[in-house]
Parts: sequence; structure tokens; C-alpha cells
Amino acid sequence: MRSKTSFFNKALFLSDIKRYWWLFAANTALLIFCCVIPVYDRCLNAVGVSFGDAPTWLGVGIVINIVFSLGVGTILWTFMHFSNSVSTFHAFPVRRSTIYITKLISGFIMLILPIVINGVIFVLLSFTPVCFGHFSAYDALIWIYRGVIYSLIIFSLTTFVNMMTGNPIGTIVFTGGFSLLPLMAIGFCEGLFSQELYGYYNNLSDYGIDKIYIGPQGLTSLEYGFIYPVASVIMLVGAYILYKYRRSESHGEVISYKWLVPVFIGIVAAIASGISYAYFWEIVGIESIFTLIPFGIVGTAIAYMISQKSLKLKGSLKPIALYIVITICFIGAVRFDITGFEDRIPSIDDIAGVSIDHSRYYVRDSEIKDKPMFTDKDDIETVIRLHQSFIQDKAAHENRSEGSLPITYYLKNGKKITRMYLINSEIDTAFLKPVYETPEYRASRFGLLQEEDYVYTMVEVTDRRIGSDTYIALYPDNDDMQKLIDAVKLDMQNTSYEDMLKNYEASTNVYISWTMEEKNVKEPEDLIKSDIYANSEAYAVKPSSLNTIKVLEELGFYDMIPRADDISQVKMTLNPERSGKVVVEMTLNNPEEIAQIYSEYDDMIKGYHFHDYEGANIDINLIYTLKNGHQFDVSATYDKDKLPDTFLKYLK
Amino acid sequence: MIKVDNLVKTFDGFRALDGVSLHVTKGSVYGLVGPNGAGKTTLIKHLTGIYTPDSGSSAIDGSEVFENTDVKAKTIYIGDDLYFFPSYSIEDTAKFYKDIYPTWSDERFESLKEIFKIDTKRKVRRLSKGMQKQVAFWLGICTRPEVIILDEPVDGLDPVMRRNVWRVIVQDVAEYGTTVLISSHNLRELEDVCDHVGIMHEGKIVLEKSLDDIKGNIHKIQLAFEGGFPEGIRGKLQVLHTESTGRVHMVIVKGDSEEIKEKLKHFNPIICDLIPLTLEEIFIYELGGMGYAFENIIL
Repeated sequence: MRSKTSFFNKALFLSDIKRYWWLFAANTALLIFCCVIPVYDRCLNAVGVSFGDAPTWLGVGIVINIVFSLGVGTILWTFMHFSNSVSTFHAFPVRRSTIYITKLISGFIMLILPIVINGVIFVLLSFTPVCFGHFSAYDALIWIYRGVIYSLIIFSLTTFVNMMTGNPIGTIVFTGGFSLLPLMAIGFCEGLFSQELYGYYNNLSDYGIDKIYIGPQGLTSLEYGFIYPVASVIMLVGAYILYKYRRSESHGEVISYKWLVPVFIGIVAAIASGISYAYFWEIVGIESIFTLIPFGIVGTAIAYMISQKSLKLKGSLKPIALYIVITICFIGAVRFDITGFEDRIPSIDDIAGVSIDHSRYYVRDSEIKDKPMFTDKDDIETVIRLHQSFIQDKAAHENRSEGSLPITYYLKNGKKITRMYLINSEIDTAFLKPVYETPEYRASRFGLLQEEDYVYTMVEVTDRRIGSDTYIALYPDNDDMQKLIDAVKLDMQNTSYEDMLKNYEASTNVYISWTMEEKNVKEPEDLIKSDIYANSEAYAVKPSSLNTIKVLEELGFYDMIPRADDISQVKMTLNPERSGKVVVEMTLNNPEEIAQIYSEYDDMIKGYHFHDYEGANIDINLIYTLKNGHQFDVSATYDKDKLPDTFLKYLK
Repeated sequence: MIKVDNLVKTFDGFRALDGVSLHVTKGSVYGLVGPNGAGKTTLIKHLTGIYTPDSGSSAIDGSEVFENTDVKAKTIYIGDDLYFFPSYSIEDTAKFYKDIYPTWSDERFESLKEIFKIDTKRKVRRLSKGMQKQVAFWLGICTRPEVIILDEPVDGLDPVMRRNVWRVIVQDVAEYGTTVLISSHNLRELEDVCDHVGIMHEGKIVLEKSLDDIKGNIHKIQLAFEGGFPEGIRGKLQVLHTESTGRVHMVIVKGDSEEIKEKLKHFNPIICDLIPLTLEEIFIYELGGMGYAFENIIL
């Protein structure tokens, strides 16, 4: 019995299954070979099997899901791409809605059934003696869910794209293009605006990129889990509407709808402009916003020719002229900052709070990572004054190497404004010092200072001069562990503004790192859920870390540091003008000379590389070879007038 | 049964159908003829619900065709460019048609095996173009359609199979009152089966009549006079074409035959013979009168 309103046609469905069964079979077999068998093998060999954190060794399953979804999504709709097949299908006594729904069901069956079959095998395996305890049936269900969602989103995207083009090559190319479009668009904006807009802050998450490209873990999270299912439904509904109004005669066309042609040309022109800007900036070395135009014109012409399926340029002058006009307007808008981006500082009455480090990396609780550091009005005013200083003296803040400072305003209306500037300590100290010395900033910069419910499970002291075999590792059963932690905390609290300004983390030899757990964690999964990224940190020891150094001395750490007579050779290079051109390059084997050079750096024994940015113009690099074969290197930067005599004699 | 009213279809600014209107009565065989690019296939694709019109309507049995499954279920379309599912045998395709068309007749399928004589286990895609066309007819007829729409139906068929196909179609019309619309360039064959003809030119039906009416309204006359050809004839009659061989003149004239004979008597012809016109000649002279270079379409 046929129903006039039925959305399913058995004959069409069976014809799809009969013709494309091999896709289903290949999908199932590949998942077995690439997922089920490796998992079983790992269980058999007792190698860690964890579905929970979606390990890369199961990532190939996701790749299979994506590839087959693209393939099935393309092949199911190829009937629309050829005159004879589209005529035959649309002459059948079947409504388009029925064809559409039936094809979707065919696609879902071919994509989802292989995942379910493999998932069921996983479930069964989870109860076998080999796999029991390695993973659970729940893990297998999560695996099924993730596979289904990835298949769904790609199949929906391919179906949606299929409706916009009239040939299979267009489907594959445009699906790829659509997938990468957000990344390309954001990358383009990031690159362009960070060069052209003073104070622009690069942060992909601000654009919601993490909500577009969702990893396996995100799929099962409350925050991101709904995105792909909802996006899939929207694309499938959009595809249905497009199919309903699609003209059968559009088979073979690159773009099926006339109204889409300008959109297509616009997107290609924008991508070509981005490539043009990147090419001239990165390869040719020209930094100018006008470099958007050359490839942009070429892209516009090519897109026009593709849309017309012709190699003739005739007719492309109009879109090219339009492209140039729009691009010039865009360039003008950026160059003259018509939106007032560069000078914008919110009114203090509109500000709920402010942070001077956007991500606040060391704030362990993810819920407060994106909350303001300062909410006190005086603190906010101090940051505003700092911000004003950045804007007023733009030239003095460009091309600096003292680090960058993101400022984020949290407005009362729920919006955020973030800017980032390069620090010039000569100018900024008056405003920056009061901010840096607040407990809030220290707590954000040094995670160890936060009041939290963590217990430390291990503390390690490492030094690359010693080598990988010998280092200090302290555990909770050793009182020295807490002693060292207390010393580090004290030094963190006493860190001077000047020390915080210097980037010690990048220049020290000695690192103290610790791992921790939440105090109330009962199950290992809870720990993972709590915040897996914040369970280890490191602290760079610097000359002012007096309390830390004292404890390290007591622990005998410095006895492990090589002495001059442990060194067999020093390879030294001196570069007086920081030009990359090496002036002195020599190898020293004389023990006296080695001792003289080694003793030059008392601080170095503590693990600190000396850097002097002000007027620094001589780079020194020393590679020490110990008698036991271990090597380590030390770099230092000096002002020419302050170069120690030890090195001066070699320069002469 | 089939009614097209003021149908307009434009492709990239080109008006493929320019307000075409057409009427096919139930149980008739309608031949749609016209030069290449006249819009015949475009019109047919509207009648089969493949294309959507820019304006106007195309209806079968009083209902619009597009997205109308009831109408499509009783219509079968056999185009010039056939499509069959890859890997499907004739049997598989027949089963598919059986599931798609509610009026499918297994009995007819079996009985037509005698005419088409193709192994039903063979893959359709591996058959020759002519054999594929036979399969299309075979399956189409088995759906017991009320309307058959054919676009260049017998291209690629051998003469014997052509005759068989026409016989099956005519039999269907006679037995079930099936309405048939055929688009073809092969005017000689159309003349044998059609009872109505529509001539399309530049997206319009320029002539639509029963074959008898057309033939009764256009005449080929062989004339001979004592002197030369009297030019006064052109003023008195609607002359479409003249040719002269010595003193014998061949004239194509539109109008009633008795009236024409009466008027010609005034010019005292030595010979005045009315010779029947073929559909091909009618087509050529009608379109020739409209400025179409008919030399291009003589088959």
C-alpha cells in the first residue's frame, strides 16, 4: 500500500542499498581492522586502553567516519548531476521530499550501521576475560556515539553542499572548502588585523573556533555536545529546502543556483586575498594591506570563469571592478580605523572587571579562568591608565621584546573587549608595577599561590646541565617536599616587579615542577573531569629565588651541578652585532681558560642565564662538554660596553 | 488530457519556451515536431514534471504535473538519453518499476517477452543503446500508463524493432485509450501513427491541427500554362512556394482545395493536378514560410 504522503520509498531505498552495499561493507571492515582489532590487541598485551580521553590510536576510526560520510554523501546525490539520471528520478511518481528522506535514511544506514556493528563487538569484548577491566560497555557506547556524530555532521555538510552544486567534483571540493572556511577566515582575520590594527589580540577561541572544530571529548560535553547535532539538523533542513526548489536543469553546473554565484565569487575572492596577503608578507617580505589585491583579482576572475564553465575572461571585468571597490573600501576602513578600534577604552562605568592576562593560564579552576582579575574600581582605573599609555605612545610600544600584555575588560552588559600591547618598561613601569604587585596578579601568574584544594603528589627538580639521569624527586612521605614547596611559595610572593618583567621561564636551567591532585577526588575519572590540564606546573629558579636556592643547597642539588674540572671542552661563539654573522667561533680545551669562563657566571651556577635587553648587542653562546660526555649550552646577551674581560680578549 | 497553457521557460536569459500552448485530447497520438532548439524536449520535461516553469501551466488530466505523484504514476516518459541503475538486470529494473508504479502488470511483462526477446537476467547498462531503448519501452508499457510521452523514441532501433514498438504503442492506444505525445524528427514515421500534429518553432507552437486538417489545408499543385507563370496567381492565392521545370510549375498553396481549383481556372492552366503532401513537406513549407531555413532539417 503506497501512501501519497509517505516520506519513505522502499524501492528507492532498496536500490540505494543494492547499489552501494560495498560502501557499507568497506566501512564496517575498515572499522574492524583499524579499531576493534587494535583494541583487542592492546587488551591482549595489557597496553593502556582508554576510550575515555579519545586517544589518537582510535583517531583513525574518526578519519574513517569522515571519509565514508563524504563518500556516501557525494554518491547518493550524484543522480542530480547528470541529465539522464535527474530526468529519470524526477519523472518517477515519487515526491522530492520522499526521494530526499529516503536517500537520507539510506545514507544513515550505510554510515551508522557499521559503527553500531563495531560498537556491539566492543561491548561484547568488554565482557571477555581479555578486555574486562580495560574498558567498559559504557566506553563502547560513547565510541558509537562519537562515530555517529562525526558521520552525521560530515554527511549533513556533504548533503548540504551537494544541493548547491551540480557535479560530484564540486561536491567534494566545496565540502572540503566549507570545512576549512571558518579556519581560513579566522586565520586571515588574525593575520591581517594583528598586523594592521594596533592592539589587536589573536585568540582563536574568541572566534568560537573550538565550537566549530570539536574534538572527541567535546562531543560528549555539555558545553559542546549539542553543537554538531543541531548544526546537522540545520544543514539537513537547509539541504531539503534547496533540493525542493532545485532546478533539474542545473545538472553539471558548478553552482546550482544563480543567486549563489556572487556568494561563491565573493568567498573565492576573499580566500585569494588572504593567500595574497600571506604570500607577500611571509615569502616576498612586503607588509602592506594593499597586497590583498593582486591574488584577489586573480581569484575573482577564476571564480567567475568556473561559475560560467568557460575559460574566457569576457564578463569578469564587472566582478573584478566590484571586488576592487569593495577591497579598497575595506582597506580604507582598516587603515583609517573607522570603527575606532585602536582608541577604544570602555567607560569605567561600563566595566565590571578587568584582567591583564587573557587566558590566565595558571588559574586552575576552569570556571574562573575567564573571570576578571580585578573588580575594584581603583585597580580598574590603574589598568585603564596603563591602557591609555599604550595608546598615547604607540611608536614607543612597537617592535619591543619585553613581552606582551593582553588586557581584557569584562563589561557589565556581558561583553568582553580584549587588546594586547608590547611592553616598554621605561614608559609602562609607573602603571604596570602597581598591577603586577597585586596578590591577584601573582596568584594568576603563579598557580602555586592560589588557595585551593590540591595535594601534591610529587616535586621534581631538573637541570639540563646535569642530564636526564640525575635529578631530585620528592614524594609526600619526604618532609623536604613540603619544605621546598613552602620556599617556592615564599619566593613567588616576594618576586619583584623587575623579575616578573623578565621572562625567566624561557631562560633558566633549573626548573621545579610538581604534580597534584584534588583533595576530594575519589575516582580517577573525577580527576580527569576536574581539569586535566592543570595538574602540573613548573617554576623557574632565578637569582632572587633565595629561599628556594637555600633549600636546594640543603638538598645537595648544587653538588650535582658540574664544576669547572668536570668540563672537558667549551665551544664558544660570539656575535657582536646580533646580525647572525658569527665573528668568533672557537673550541677551548685548556682547563684554565675553561675555569675562567665557567667562573664568569656565578649566577649560572644557580641556573640563570644573564639577559640584558637594554642596548644589548653581543650574543654569546657556550656549549660545554663534560668528561662524562653530557653536553649543555648557555646563552647570554651583553651590552658591548659591559662585556666582561674574559670574553673581550677573544673578541679582540 | 494534456494541456499546456502559455508556458514560459528561460535558461540564462534565453527563452526556450515562449508562451507555448498545446492541447492533446484523450486517446490521441500527438506528434510534436520542430527544428533543433525549438523547445520540444524542454516542453516534454515540463509535461513529465522534471522542469518547473517560469510561468504558465502544464497539466495532465486537469492536474499540474510537477510534484504530482498521481499524475506521474499514470505517465511514462521515455527520453532520448536513457538512464538505468548500474548493476541492475532487466529483472531487477522490472521489480523496481513494479514497486514504483502502482499499475504495473506482471502479465504484460511476461507477454511482451515474446516481442522484445532479451534475456531478462542481462544487465541493462551492458546492452546496446537500441536494446536499452527496447527495455525502456517494454518496462514503460508494463506500467499500463494512461499517458506516454516519448522523446525521439525510435532512434537507435532497427527497422523491425521500430515497427514492433509502433505496433505496441498503437495497440495500447486502441485497447486502453492511451494518450501519446511523441517528439520526433522522423516525420515519415510520425505521419503513420499520429492523428494530431503540433509544430514548434522558437519556443512556440506555430501550428497545431489534426493531420487530416493540415493535409486538407495545404496543397501541392502541378501547373502548366500556355505562356509563362502568371504572376497574378500570387495575388489570388496564399502561395508558400513555387518551383518551375520548363513550362511545368509546382506550387505549394494554403487554403481549401475546391476554392483553389476555382481560382486557378481563371488563369486557364493546361495542367492542374493536386498532389498529396507528405508531413515532411508540410513541415518544410510551413516553417519555410516563417523564415526557417528548411534545407537544414530535411531528413
